[in-house]
Formats: sequence, C-alpha cells, structure tokens
Amino acid sequence: MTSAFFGKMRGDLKSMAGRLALLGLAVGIGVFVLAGIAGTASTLLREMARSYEDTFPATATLALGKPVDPAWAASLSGSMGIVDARAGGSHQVRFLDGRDQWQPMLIFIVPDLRNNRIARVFPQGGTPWPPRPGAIALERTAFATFALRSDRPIRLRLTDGSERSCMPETVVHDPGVAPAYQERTAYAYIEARTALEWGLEPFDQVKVRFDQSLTWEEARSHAGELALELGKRGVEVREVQVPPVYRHPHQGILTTLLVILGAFGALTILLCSLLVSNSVNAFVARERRWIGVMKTLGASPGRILALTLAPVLLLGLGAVIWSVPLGILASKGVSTLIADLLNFSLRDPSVQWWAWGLPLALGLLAPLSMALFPANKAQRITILAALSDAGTEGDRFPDRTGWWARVLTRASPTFAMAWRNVMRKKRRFFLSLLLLGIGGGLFMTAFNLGRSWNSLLAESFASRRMDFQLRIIGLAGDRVLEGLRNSTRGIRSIERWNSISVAVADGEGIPLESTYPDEAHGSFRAFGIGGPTSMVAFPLIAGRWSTRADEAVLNRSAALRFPLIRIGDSFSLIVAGVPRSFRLAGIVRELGQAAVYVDSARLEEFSLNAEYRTELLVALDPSSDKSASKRSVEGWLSRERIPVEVLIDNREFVMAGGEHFGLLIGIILVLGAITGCVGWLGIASLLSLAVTERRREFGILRSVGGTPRNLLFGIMSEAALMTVLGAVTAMILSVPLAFGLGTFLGNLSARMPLPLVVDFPMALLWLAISLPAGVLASLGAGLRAATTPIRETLNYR
Amino acid sequence: MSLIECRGITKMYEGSAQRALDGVGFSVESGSFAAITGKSGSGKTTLMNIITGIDRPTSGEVTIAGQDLGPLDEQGLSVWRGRTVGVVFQFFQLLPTLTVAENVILPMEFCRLFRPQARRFRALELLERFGIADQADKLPHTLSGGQQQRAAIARALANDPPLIAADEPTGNLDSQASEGVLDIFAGLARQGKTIFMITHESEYGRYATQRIRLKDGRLENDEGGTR
Repeated sequence: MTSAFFGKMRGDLKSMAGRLALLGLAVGIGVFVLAGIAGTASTLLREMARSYEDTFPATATLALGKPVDPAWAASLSGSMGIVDARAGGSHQVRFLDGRDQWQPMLIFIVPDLRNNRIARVFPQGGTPWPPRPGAIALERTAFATFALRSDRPIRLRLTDGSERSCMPETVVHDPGVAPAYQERTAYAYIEARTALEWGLEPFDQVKVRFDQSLTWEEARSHAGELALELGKRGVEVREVQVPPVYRHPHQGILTTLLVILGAFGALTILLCSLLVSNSVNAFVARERRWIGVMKTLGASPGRILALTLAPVLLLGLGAVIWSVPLGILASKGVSTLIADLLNFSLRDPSVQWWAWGLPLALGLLAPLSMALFPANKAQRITILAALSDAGTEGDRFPDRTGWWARVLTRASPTFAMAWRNVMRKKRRFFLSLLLLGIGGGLFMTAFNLGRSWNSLLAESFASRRMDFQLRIIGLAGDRVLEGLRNSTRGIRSIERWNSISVAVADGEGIPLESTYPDEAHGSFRAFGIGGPTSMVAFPLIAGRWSTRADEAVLNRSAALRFPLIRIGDSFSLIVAGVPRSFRLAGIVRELGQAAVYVDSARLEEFSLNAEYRTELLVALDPSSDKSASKRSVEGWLSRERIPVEVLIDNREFVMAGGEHFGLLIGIILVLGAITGCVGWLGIASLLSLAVTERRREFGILRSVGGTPRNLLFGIMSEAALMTVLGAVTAMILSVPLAFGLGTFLGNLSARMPLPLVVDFPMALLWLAISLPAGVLASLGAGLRAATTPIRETLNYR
Repeated sequence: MSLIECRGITKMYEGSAQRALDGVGFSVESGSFAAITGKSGSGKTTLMNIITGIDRPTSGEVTIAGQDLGPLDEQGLSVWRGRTVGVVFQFFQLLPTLTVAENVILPMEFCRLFRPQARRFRALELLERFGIADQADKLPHTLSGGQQQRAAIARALANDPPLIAADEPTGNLDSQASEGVLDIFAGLARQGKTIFMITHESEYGRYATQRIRLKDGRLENDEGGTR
C-alpha cells in the first residue's frame, strides 16, 4: 500500500471520528455487558457446583420413621453401591428472633460434626467447633436475617411445647441450603448429645452417597433398589429423597438466568453491529464516486475492501480494549454479590479463558462481519456505475405522501419534514426503532414482571383467607379449638385440617421424592379438608374444587409431578408408606411447594401415625390486633404444651415469595437501562450520520430563511419523533417479552407462569426519560447542522 | 433607487493568498434584471454568496434594500434573507422530503409571514402562476427539471422578497425550459422585483437590463479592461 492510500484512509477516519467514537462506545457497552455476564457465568457456575460438591451432599436420604443406630447406618458403607453412609435426623422447631417474633428453625442432627463426611458444613473462624453440648451451630445467614448474635442465647420452642435456651455460639456456612432470608427459616446443626438432652430423637434417617459418576436417573434407581433391599431386611423405608445429583437447589435457576442475560448481551452487540453496518453503508454511498476514481487509478478490490473495513476494525479494537477488561472486572463484583445472595463461597474467583475470548471475538468479529456486506458491495462496484452515481441512491420516496404527513403539513412543514426524514432510510429507521424498542421494552418488562409478581402475591394473599396457620404434631381435638377460642380475643373462625408429607410412587411402589435436605425445595404435602372450606379459595386452572370421597385437587407445582394427568384420572400417592389412589377433580394456582387437597377423614384413616399433623387455620376479626392475637395463641399452646411444629403467618408467607424475585427484576432493569443507553448512542450516531448526509439540505434551508434555531428545532423534532415511536415500539415489545419471561421465570421460581400485567405508569416514565434523552442525543448533530456556514453546506457533496 | 449597493468588496478565503473578489463596487436599481457574467473562477458565486448573506466579505460594505449586512449575526441574517431575498439555485435544491407545495410554504413558516391558514393558498397561487399547481402535492423528484426550477422560483417568491438571486438557474435545463425560466424572471422584473442572476451563457444576456462582468475577481468594463 502506498502512503497516499494510507493518507486517504487517515482522512476518512478523521472525517468519521465523532461517529466512530459514538459507535465504538455503543459496541463497547454491548461487549462490556457480554464480558460481565460471561465472566460471572464462568466463575459462578464453576464455584456454585464446587461449593456444593465440597459439602459432599448425600445422594439419597432414606427416611425410616423410626430411630436409626448410627453404627448400623455407617456399616452400610461399601455395600449395595454405597460409597459412604451415616445416620441423620432433622427437627422443625421454632425460636424467638431478635425482633421478638417466633420463627421456624430446622435443626440437623449429625453424629460427628467435626469428622462428618456427608452434607458437611463449614465453621467460620474463631468459633467453637463442634458446638459444645447444649449449644448450636447456626447457619451464617440467619444472624442478619433474624437479628441474632452469637453471644446472646436463643429461646427455642420444641415441638412438644417445651422451651430451651441455647447459645448460637458457632457460625457455620452451609452452601447446601438457601439463605435464611429467602426461606424465612434458620438452619441449625447439633450432635446427638444435645438432641437427647432436649428430648429429640437424634436419628431417623440414613444419608448415603453413591458413586459420583451416577446420573440423577441412575441415582434414583439405585436409591429405589436400596430401599427395596432394606425392606427385604425388615427395615421399612417411608420415603426416599434423591435431589438432583451435585446440583445446588438454585443451580438451574442461575444457569438459565445467565443464559438469558448472555443472550441479551449478544443481542446488544448484534444491534450495535447493525448500526456499524449502517454507517459503513452510508460511507460507501458517500464514497461511491471516489471509489470509482480510485479504481480508475488502479486500486484493487482488496484495497477498496481494506479502505471500508479499516474503520470498523479500528472501532472494534477501540471498543474491546476497554470494555472486556472492565466487563471482567465488573463480573468479579457481580459474582461475589450473587454468591453471597445464594449463600455459596467463591474459593477461586478467577475467570476462565472463554469469558475473555467470547466477548473479545464477538466485539471484533460481529461488527466486521456485519460491515462485510456493504464493504463487499463497495469492492464489487464497477467503475462505470461508480462514476455515473448521482449520489441519490437509497433516498427514494413514494410519489404519494401519506395522509398523516399531510395532516402534519397543515400544522407545519417542519413537522412534515421531520417525520419524512425519520422515515427516509427505512432500514435505518427500523434499526433505530429496534434499538430503542428493545432498550425500552426491557425496562418496561422489568416493571411489568414486578407487577406480575406482585399480582401473583396479591392473588396468593387473597386466596388464603386465614391470618395464620398452625401445624400441630399429632391429633388436635375439639379441646384445642375451644381452648384457642376462649383464650384469644379476635378469632373470627378456626378450621381444622390435617396434613402429612406424601410422595409420588415409582414403578416399584417406593416413595421417591426429589426433596432437598432443607425439606422445602422439592417437598410435597397432602392436606385433608373436612368439607367446604372458607379458608382458601385458590383460582382453578382446570376442573373443579372437590375433596369429597376419593377426589383430590392438586396445586400446579404438584400437578407437574404427573406430566400426563387429566381431570378425572386416577393417580397414586404414597401416604405413610402405603400407595393410595385418588381421582383428580381439579388443579389450582397456588404459590408455594407441591400440595394435594383431599378429604380429611380419608387422610386421617391413612395416616394416623407419627407423621400425622393437624393444621389449624385461624382467621381473625379485621379489627383485631393481629400481633396480640398471634402472641396469645402462641402463649396458650405453649402453656398447654401442645406440640406446634410450625406457625405460618399468611402475610409473611406470601411476602417471603417476593424476596426471590427482587434481584431478577433488578438485573433486567439494569439490562434495560444499558440497552437503552446503547439505543441512545445509536440515535446520536444515526442523527449525526443523517446530518452529515443532509448538509446540503441544511444550506438550502438556511438560504430560504431558516434560522439556526429552525434547524436545531427540526433535528430535535426528528429525535423526538424517533424516541416517541421507539417508546411505542418498546410498549408493544414489552408485552410479549413480559409474557415470555413471565412464563419462563414464573415456572422456574413459582412453578406457574406469571400473569401478564402491563405497568402503564412505568411505560409513561420510560417515555418521560427517553424523550428528553433522545432530544439531548440530537443536540450535537443539531448544533453542527445549525452552525456550519451555509457556504460550506452548499458546497458539500 | 438602488436596491443593491456594494462598495469595495474584497474576499479572501482562508489559506489562500488570492483575492476571490478584489474591491468590487456597483449598485443595482430596484426593478432591474442584473446579469452577472464571467468565466469559471472569476468570482461570480462568491459575489452571489455575499449579496445573499450566505458569506461575508473580508472587507467592504453591502447594503441590500437599505439594510447594511455587516452588523447582522447569523440569526439576523437568516431572518433578513428569508424576507428580502429569494434564492434560486442551478440544481433547483428543492427539499426532497417535502412536497412541492410544502417547499413553497416553508419560507413563509420560517419567517412567520402570512397567516398559517393562508400559506397553502398562497403557495398554490404561486404554483398556479407558473403552471405547476397540479404538481403541488407531489414530491420534487417526480417533476421534470423545468418544473422543479419553476417550483424553486415559486419558493423564492413565497415571502414576496424585493430581490431574487439566481445562481445559473438555467444551467441544468434544456433550451426550451431555460427560455421559460428567463421569461418568468423578466416578467418579475417588470413587476418591480430586482433580479440578480449569475449566468455564463451570454445569449441569455438579452433579458438583462444591467450587466456586471467579472474577471479575476474584478469588475470588467465593456472594453474588456478591469477596474
């Protein structure tokens, strides 16, 4: 290449410097997002799996429903494919938190905490390990959630109603459970001695680990065979819990979330690349005649290609140089934040090579590949076509003008001109709409999803008409109901149900569940209702509400366990170790874990054993002091030593659901804002391009009396029109986006699609934000148009 | 009465030691048809730009319709131009995104002349006058060259300015269309408008009532010398 050729290249770059900088910034932001997401994904997915694997989670937990001898449990190691085994147990108790509220606590009992090899927890520095007898180790996230301190004793209320005081002297980290704030439950760990001291049966489970290479299906099959084998040896297995192997309870959600975010990042880069392609197209159109001249002078097609692609390569390089390292740096912060939120630790915060390579490659190659089309067109143009170019290509208008434009003209030709200029380059117009539409669409989607989630919470709250629900161990007769009514003022009504944990039977009749050790994720419960109820009114998805005779109603989460089931079909559940048949009457929408509603008398008949629970649903008078009533009920039950397993406050239960979703909405909102920024830069760049292309027109406008202010107003009107149309596109796009994401995320987090809700005030807010932003974006181009001397604009070709 | 008064106009462009105009002075009476002729590079367009306020002289004074252009800023010049000068270009320069009628309405809107409801009526009247009223709602590229130039003249007359400045208005037209355009200018001069037209086609000089010949940035007298 000659130096003159470089000189031409340098001149071209100089003439496009401002626009290249804007486009580079837009591409850079897209690459930054992608690098951030790739870095986060590469760290989190590895570390979440590792953090969970470090706990040596049990492949299967077999609930025997009777005391287990730890020595016998350990002796199972080495037989029946078991690599390691130990006894285990857990008890649901309640404790008084730092705000004087009774809260649920799940206590895990481990034979030897220090030498534990299955479902390990990790003591935090400086605290006694294992906890001394009578003290507990408490999962670290409970302290902040429930305002607890390791140097202050906690009051525990055990299931038999008795109370104990214990010191939460050891702080542990258990990556295998969700953080306390998400589940509104504290997790504690003790050894057998403390359990016995408190009158709790230490062990009624066997936790086993199979070979690490097994798939989930194989693990389920092995666990089923183990249960059968134990049954043959006379050990009855009431339930087998096999959570997905080596998958953290939140791993699926995290992976899917990262994939969605990654797709948005890639989409942003793609849109930026289209912007680049547009600019190259405009550059080629402008340079067409000179390309012809250069070819006449002997320039090869390769040189023409180099001339058109050089700015794009430079732009890509300029974009990735800062955006990839910054994105990776940001990913470290995001990874730490998400790891903290999901309660796992980052032992190795390093980012894998692909997280650097992917955004680097996409940042360089995506704009280049998009620019190849116009660049190729430039190199293939014949000299004759290039030299005879009149400079009007791609600037054709229909012979007729639309009625709306005529209406605008009646108001002002300036508006008509702004409208038609916006529509002048169709491809550019649609690209701008797409950019603004996706940015705004994401922004609105975030709020739409927030509203959808709140609407689901509101529906859930409205469909549960009790104020709180007490789960009492064993049978609670009329005496309890009478006692509660007499002891507590403000009770409007009490309903008595019963409940028991159930399981879906596998082919051999083994009660196989995918419940995680926290007993929440993946659990399944049957509720018995004696006749019509005034306490719940779940919206029906299919069929009708009926718990008469053998009829049952499944909530959606439970219905998903019977993939092919239809209304009227029979299905089998293992209740208290025995398969029982029910007929499906209906499916309801209910937020929470899997549940089946059946006849209470029938459930009592099936399950009057140690697993049996009485559910008391208490509705208070609207005028009553709810906290005082709740305290009074708690006090009476405690005095009467009635074993309460759990007290679920309806409001807290429903509101706890909101905790899972805030982060997600926040992330989508940030993405929307970033895409909106890219759209803003896109508009600024496209307007700058339009002003450059129409310089001569500005000269004409000035020569027929247009003032600099008129020109500025015209350009700003174009930007305003574009942003208003972009906001309308965003509103339209946000509906399918909110529907799609709501269905997807709702199914992931609540096992049901979120209802579609459009947040109109937020749509107006987006318009209110984007309109001045769009007008501001046009300021640079407008001022340039208004201040360029007329003589220069008229001479422009 | 002089509509255009130029005294000692000199113009030098940045980076060039040459004078595009060198002490040019002349006046043009109201209702005249002045033809500015000269070879390429003689300074015709520079002079036109200075007369229309598109460019400023390096030195010298320009007074148009009693207004000294020197003290006017860009905003003031735009307003002045819109009311005082109608500019007609060689390549018509109709705005491609506006219809013919809208092109004519635009100067009225810029200068806020005539009531908004009356502007379209006036535009149609002007187009009718030049025989292209039936093209009013079409976009410029669908018109012939002659029709586009008539539309451009209608636009130049939109604000009823006393001066029509035309830069080789027939340079892009065939001879028949050119005659038509010059007839229009001659008619306008008869009605009292001052026409200031650049042309290098001497045969059209017969329409002119005043000739200003430029050579190397100076006025050329009838004998061929410069002054």
